[in-house]
Amino acid sequence: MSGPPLPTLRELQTLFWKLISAPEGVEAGADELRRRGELAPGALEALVRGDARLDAAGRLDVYADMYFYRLRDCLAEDYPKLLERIGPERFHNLVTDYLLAHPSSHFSLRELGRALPAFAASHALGADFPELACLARLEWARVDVFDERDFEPLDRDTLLERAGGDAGFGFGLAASTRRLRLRADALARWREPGAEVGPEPREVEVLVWRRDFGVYHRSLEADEARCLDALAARPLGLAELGEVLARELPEETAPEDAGARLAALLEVWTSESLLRAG
Amino acid sequence: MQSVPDLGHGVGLRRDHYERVLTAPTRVDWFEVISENFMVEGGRPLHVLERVRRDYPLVLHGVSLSIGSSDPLDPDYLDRLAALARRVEPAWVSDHLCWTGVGGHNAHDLLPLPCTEEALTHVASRIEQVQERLGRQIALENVSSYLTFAGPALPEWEFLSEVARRADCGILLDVNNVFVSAQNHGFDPETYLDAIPPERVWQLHLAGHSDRGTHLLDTHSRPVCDAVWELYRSATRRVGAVASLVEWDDEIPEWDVLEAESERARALRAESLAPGCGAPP
Repeated sequence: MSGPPLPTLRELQTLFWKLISAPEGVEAGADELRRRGELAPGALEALVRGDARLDAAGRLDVYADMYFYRLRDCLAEDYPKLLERIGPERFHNLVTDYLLAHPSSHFSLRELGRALPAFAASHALGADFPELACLARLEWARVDVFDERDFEPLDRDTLLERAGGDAGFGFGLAASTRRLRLRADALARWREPGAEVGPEPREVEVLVWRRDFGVYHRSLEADEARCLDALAARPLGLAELGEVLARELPEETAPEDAGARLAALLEVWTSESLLRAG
Repeated sequence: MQSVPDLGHGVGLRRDHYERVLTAPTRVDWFEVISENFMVEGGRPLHVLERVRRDYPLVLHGVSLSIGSSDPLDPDYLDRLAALARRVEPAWVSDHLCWTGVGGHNAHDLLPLPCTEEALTHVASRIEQVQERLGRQIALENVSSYLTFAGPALPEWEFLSEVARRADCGILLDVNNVFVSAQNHGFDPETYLDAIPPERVWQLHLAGHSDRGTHLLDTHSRPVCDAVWELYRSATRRVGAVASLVEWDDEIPEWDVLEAESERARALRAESLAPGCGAPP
């Protein structure tokens, strides 16, 4: 080993990170650091060996490109409808802004896009694409349930049998579900990014869930949404669920109609593998 | 030094091939999976992993250990890796001789370490901590690199060998990465292979790279090129019968194409290790 010493490992890595994550590239990032007095003139060249093929900044740019494009591609995989809706150029800019505000801090790329829906809600692109944040929330919910923990879903007969034989038996909503309230145009744009939608933004209740290895979503009626929210909050017995539903139905609803509605909901939920015991 | 089995010839298991691998026999002997993709709560990834594990040996290959970072080791990451290892009982666990982030940020890329005494001491000490936490030795892979730090440093091959010696860990020798770095930095790849202690090599990696004009890029998006096959032949003569694996992560081809690459590795290794070919006894 010979020659002048390198900075410490900590100093070297901190500088390396600042340069490869600079949004305008390594040269611009280095200029900015020099302006702030954090990088001495010639320090970059003293740190990294350049040659006739690539100078020091060019070699760091290889890493800068890999950093950005890997993360952009990951977000494009998690948010394909958003990408399709706003187009690659705007998506590229959205990702650039997002990574500046939310550089990855998790060991898994799986978590990279978690903050994008909230970020999109306050991004300038929302002026042209008002459904942007809702579309992002829907796509993230679908990513999120994909590898949620497994459970043994309750089928309808088991549920009714156990509820009939045990007054203390409760059931709840599986972890592999998400409840959302979204602009209706976000749902329409998820199905068809170029879909024509009305000028008045209407909100809809939405459920996202995984059954076996497939991920699904659909809109909900208000009474169904309230019942599912109650089941997500804590396990309920059949009678308790009936009380939640009754509060959502018109006062004049006949008991047999309320019972039929509850039976219909249970039929749907069990067929969609939404419920778990206890 | 732990003795590891020769698993034969494997490929990296990727989502595109899940269905094919689960539904029909293959000619590969084993699979390597990216550890982080399976550090999840449930769903299809873990289901596939357990199904594959029933029929094949597995190796857990991580990309986020960040063994060279000056940040502290991530205890949550190590806990999850340990749990995954308990779940699938891999033949071994590997990661890369690099760093992936600093200051709490993760670049999700395999960033180069300076081959200095400071880095050597730092990395060896952290490998020991990881091995203690996992209750097993690990193997570390040489990465492709696109820059060399100025200043006094060991050649990379000496750095890798010394890290493995001090930490008493295995080496996952990526032949394509040796080739890519040799081209990018102008050294002889045979010099690299000569310096690696063969008894520490647990596994060989093969992959394709792309020529970007000013440099080669380790893209894992193409077939292994002839020059890398030649280097692989040379490596097998040095290290003997150790497990080999073909990686393909981008522009992933049909299963048959990937399997054919693995079969080519099998044939080349057999040829290299045949009596009279200069292979180790």
